[in-house]
Amino acid sequence: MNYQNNPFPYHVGVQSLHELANKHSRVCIMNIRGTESSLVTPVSHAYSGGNVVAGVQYGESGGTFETPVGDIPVFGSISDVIRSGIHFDTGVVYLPPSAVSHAVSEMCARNVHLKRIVIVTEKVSARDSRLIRYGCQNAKVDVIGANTLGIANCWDQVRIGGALGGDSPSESLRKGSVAIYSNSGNFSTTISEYLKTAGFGTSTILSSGKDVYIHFALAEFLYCAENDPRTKAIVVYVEPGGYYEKQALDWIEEGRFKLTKPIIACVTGRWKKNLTRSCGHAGAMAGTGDDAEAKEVWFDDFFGVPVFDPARPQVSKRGVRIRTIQDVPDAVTACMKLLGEQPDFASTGDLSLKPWFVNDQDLSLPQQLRMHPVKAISPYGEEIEKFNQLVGARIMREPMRNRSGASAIDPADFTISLHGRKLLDLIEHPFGAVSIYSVLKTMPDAGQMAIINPLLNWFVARGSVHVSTVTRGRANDCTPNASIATEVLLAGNNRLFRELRAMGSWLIDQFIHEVGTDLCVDDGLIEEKLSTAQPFPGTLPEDYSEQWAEYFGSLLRTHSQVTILTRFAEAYSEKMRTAGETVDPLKLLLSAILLGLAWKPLTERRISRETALDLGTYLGLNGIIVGVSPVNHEKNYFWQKLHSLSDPAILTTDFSSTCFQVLFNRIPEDSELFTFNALLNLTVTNGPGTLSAKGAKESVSARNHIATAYAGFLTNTGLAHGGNGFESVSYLLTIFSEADPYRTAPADLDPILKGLAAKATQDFVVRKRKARIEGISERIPCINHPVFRDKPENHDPREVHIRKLLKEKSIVNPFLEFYHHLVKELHAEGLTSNVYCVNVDAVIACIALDLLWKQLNNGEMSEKEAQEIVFIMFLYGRMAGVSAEIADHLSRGQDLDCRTPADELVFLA
Amino acid sequence: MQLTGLKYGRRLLDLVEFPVSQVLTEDASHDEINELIASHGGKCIVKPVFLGGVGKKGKAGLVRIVSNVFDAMVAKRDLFFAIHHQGNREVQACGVTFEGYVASDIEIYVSISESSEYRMPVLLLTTKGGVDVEDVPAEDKRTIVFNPVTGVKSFHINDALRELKCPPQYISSLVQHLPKLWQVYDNYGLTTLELNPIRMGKVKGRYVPLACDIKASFDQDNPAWKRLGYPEEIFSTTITQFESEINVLRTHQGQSDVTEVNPKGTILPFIFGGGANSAATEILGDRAIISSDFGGNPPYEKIKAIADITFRHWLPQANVVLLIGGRANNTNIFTTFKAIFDSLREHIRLNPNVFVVAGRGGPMVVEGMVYGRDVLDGLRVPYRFFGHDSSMMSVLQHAIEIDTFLEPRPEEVAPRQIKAA
Repeated sequence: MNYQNNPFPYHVGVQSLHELANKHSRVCIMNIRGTESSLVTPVSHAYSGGNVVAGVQYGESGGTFETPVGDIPVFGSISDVIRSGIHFDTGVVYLPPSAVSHAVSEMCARNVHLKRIVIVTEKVSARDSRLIRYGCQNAKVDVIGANTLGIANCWDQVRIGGALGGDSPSESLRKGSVAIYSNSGNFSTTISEYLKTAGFGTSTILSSGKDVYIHFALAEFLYCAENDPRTKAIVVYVEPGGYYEKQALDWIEEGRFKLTKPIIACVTGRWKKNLTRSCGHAGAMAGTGDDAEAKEVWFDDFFGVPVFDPARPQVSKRGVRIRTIQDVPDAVTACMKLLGEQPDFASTGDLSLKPWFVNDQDLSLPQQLRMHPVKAISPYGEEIEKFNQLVGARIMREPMRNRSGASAIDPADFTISLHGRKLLDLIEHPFGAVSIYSVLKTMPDAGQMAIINPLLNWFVARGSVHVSTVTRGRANDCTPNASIATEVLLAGNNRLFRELRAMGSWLIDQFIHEVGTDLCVDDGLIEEKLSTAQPFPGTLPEDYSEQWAEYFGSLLRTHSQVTILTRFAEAYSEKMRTAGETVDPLKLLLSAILLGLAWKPLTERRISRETALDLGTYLGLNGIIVGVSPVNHEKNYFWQKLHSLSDPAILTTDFSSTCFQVLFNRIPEDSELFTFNALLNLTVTNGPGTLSAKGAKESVSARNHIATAYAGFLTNTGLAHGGNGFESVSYLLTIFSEADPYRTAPADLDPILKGLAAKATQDFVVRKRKARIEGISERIPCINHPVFRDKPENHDPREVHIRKLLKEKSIVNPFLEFYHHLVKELHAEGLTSNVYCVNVDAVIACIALDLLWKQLNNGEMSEKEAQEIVFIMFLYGRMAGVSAEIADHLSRGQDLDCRTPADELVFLA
Repeated sequence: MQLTGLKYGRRLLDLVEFPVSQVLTEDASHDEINELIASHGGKCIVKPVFLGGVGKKGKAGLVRIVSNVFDAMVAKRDLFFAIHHQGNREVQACGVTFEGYVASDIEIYVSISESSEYRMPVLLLTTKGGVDVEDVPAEDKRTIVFNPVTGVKSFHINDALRELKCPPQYISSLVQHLPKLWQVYDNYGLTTLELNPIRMGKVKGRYVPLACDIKASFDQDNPAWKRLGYPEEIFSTTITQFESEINVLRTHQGQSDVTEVNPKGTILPFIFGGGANSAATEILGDRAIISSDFGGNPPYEKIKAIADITFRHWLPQANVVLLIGGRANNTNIFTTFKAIFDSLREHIRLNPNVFVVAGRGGPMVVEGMVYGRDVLDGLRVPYRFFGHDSSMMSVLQHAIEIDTFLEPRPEEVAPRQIKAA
């Protein structure tokens, strides 16, 4: 090959790009076991046909470095490498910055055959760079870098230095006619990807680095490209700082060396003009005349044509400047066309926007911004397909001690949220809906509620079967949580739970990949599935299964809630019945209904597959808690009716009303149902630190069944937690012992309440004085929250919200109004430094007392029963919140992740 | 990292006993100022003190020559908190210096910097200083290229000054003192050192070059500047609170380069790679809150810490969180995406209405995107993930369009309908 005369006023040891890196290159890597080298070198070595002949690792000698194509010997120094008879012409440095100049000195001093050094290390100081320059010029060694990703020769399939082409270089680096010179390592590979869309491959790619010193700069690259017969055009990507480009273009203009091949140049970084320190590339700092705009002018003047416009492509034989690397394919095509050159191969793909994953959630975007997922190029499309086969959310497992992915507490106002929604915003939703929301993170709509209420009530009816267990416990003076927990524990992982789960899983596998998010009935698909579906293992129907399946099927049709899942379940049961096979039609239909409810959050990956399948278990356990909880089931007419299921119509009762009637043995008035429903929703959770939920989570972390975890919740409640509502009820009963607020005309009520507050204050003065003498503390329950206490007049925002809500419904709770008079009276009497807030706990007590008052006063209910009812109300609300915590922990937590670390354990002597 | 002015700059020159004009700081007493004026021909110069690199103060009318204490105090009052505009940057002074006026018939300009043209350090010298060196005709300045190991020598200076026809009475002292600047430059990690002007004063009857102003740039990658013991705050105008928190994580592997672009921006970009940093920031313009280069295959812990700081500072105001880079060569996409989305999940309460746009390729890209998808689905945050087969520039444009749509538009009743469930 006849090259031009080397035109440089300094040493440049190569004449052609091909010489920079080729199949004859022999490489030694400094710090071969370093973090980055450990990842990159095996890939480079394999891609390059095993061109790394040695590695150096200070302090280690005699070992080997494993790669897919054979081991690389590792030495303790360059001298050892040379002494062992290994020859190399190229050194690669992966050492930390402070060691780089020393390593370069070592290689130059010890290896007389060294031709070039590639410095991958980032943040080498300018001082070390100038010493490297000086030393290597004297040793006649070319330097690439620092902060380079090295060189790739796509014709010889060789890469030296860093990770050009990533972990699959043969995919990115396709042989072709375009050379790439880039200040950015990442753009080196990205540009080669872009070129493929126009059918162009690459000859040699050089990541120059963009430190203050670029030792192998544009002039050298262009000179070598001109001498490289493989190269027909050159893509250049540069940033502000330095006169390397001007020097190269000036030298061509001056005729110092010739360049007949077009340059497609991209300059970015106008915004860096005013930087006073580097961001990104260390050398991309503009001085007075070397900012991005100046560089654009250098290139434009050289090319003689304006910046490239893809709509009206105009280029010169010298090339063209492009605004962004996006224009590389069009500009290279235009330049090649001018030269009469053809693409290297058929174009592959294009650069249009192709989202691999899209979800606008419920955001309504204008038409032009809406997108649909596009299948990714191979092999990524296939990889994505594999992941898409996985159903539901996949959440990284992590320790869950004192943590929750379900509930949260806002540190600003202490409001609690569940699955991102404030509890205060949930309280008007039907409690049945909130029970579903707790597990599925999605609030059911009104149409779904027409099915959900019967479903929940059916579970209550089924759960009421063993009420005798609780009766026995009550006789033994068990607290309600204990006796209910016993029945819950015994539920275990029973056949109903197991079969609902298995059937749900079977249905998911049949339909998830066929229907996506749309559960509309598709008769063709149902027919196809009926004939091709792997049969579900036979299940024995229970008594009346067919009749109840028919009832629920009819309900679905009446309320237009039929889905492809429920239609298929019915058709499959019919097919099995006709064939004389056994399958429980009710359980199959119920599992289809449950799965239908879970379908949206499941396909949106908001819940895990496991959570979707466990929905029946949660509802079943909730059903047991409600079903066995009446304080006097023998006299409870509603419960008897539900228990016997003598009239299916009872199943359509609103679930809140069911809970109310099971507890109070009467039909609620509208206002009562509203406050009762609000109270249940209000007690769903108390945030991640909820004590009752902790019991459940610790049980989950020990890998128990959900029923056992529920028992963990129940046994973590007690007279001090859940039962303490009665403390304030008891206090209010004392206060109102001689004044029935419900027998007072509304207009007269307020002065009476004020009077009661004044009296209560005086009583408190006496009790407090007495308590002080006795050395004990005396307090009034449910006032003065530890957080809301610093203002002259304090309010618990949660209480404020609910009181406002009640007032909007024209519901006056006399006990709550009394509390507000009381806190003002206490301050007026000088007993408190400011006006205490009324806590949200007071709301719960006041609502409970409001509901109990009449039955308690007319003797229909004993105080003990009232106490139990207050406790059980708390358990009802909390069971929903606990199901959320258990589902969250099961999807996200690890075994024993609630364990306390040993160093936090304390022995109290 | 830059500094200007003699308040702090004289420490550099004192290290090599390079003469400096007498400087008093803002706490100087009236007597001290009087004495300064009296000993400098009845004049002193009052200059505002700016932290970081701030030039062209004279052109902005921020330098006063006064002849009595009263005028000096007036100048002090006017300049103490002076505001100076450099491009779109606005900087505020935080003090003044009183510098002795040196009567001189010539003003010398001298600088040492790294030359991309010669690929060596060079010393630029002119006897027509006191102005922007770019405005000095080529024939009136000389570039001295010297051996970077042995440094600039007296004969280099002598030859240049003779060529520049420097008055002979000054040559000897300049030849004696100017080579000292190399010691400062080479030993303390400088990338630029500029004295402009140097005025020729007389000490004990001999001419002495007195530095009357100084600019210096330090190499962030050379820890030698730390030996100077400068207080951190002198570089503080160039580093914001956010940047300083991120800088704590800075290592030789990079991965944590950030610059605050527009604290009122609405796109929060996590940019990977130096090239992407340059190109993406340009396209995003003022919408970008920060510019960053988090490439270089950062480990999980590091990118998680970066994301934590970034979200804490900027998520509340962001319409769009953008993850952008080309096809990574080395950076593990799963690791970086996992760290960022884990952090986003922890900070989402600061702004649950954010939109995520990502454009990336590289090792484990599908795993990274699937992880992000799952987290965002769980948070109900809308998103788009583009692979490397989409143009990075188009992804950026798309992020801008999303940002434009999400910008609050009071005239519209409900531009955003988010999260029904």
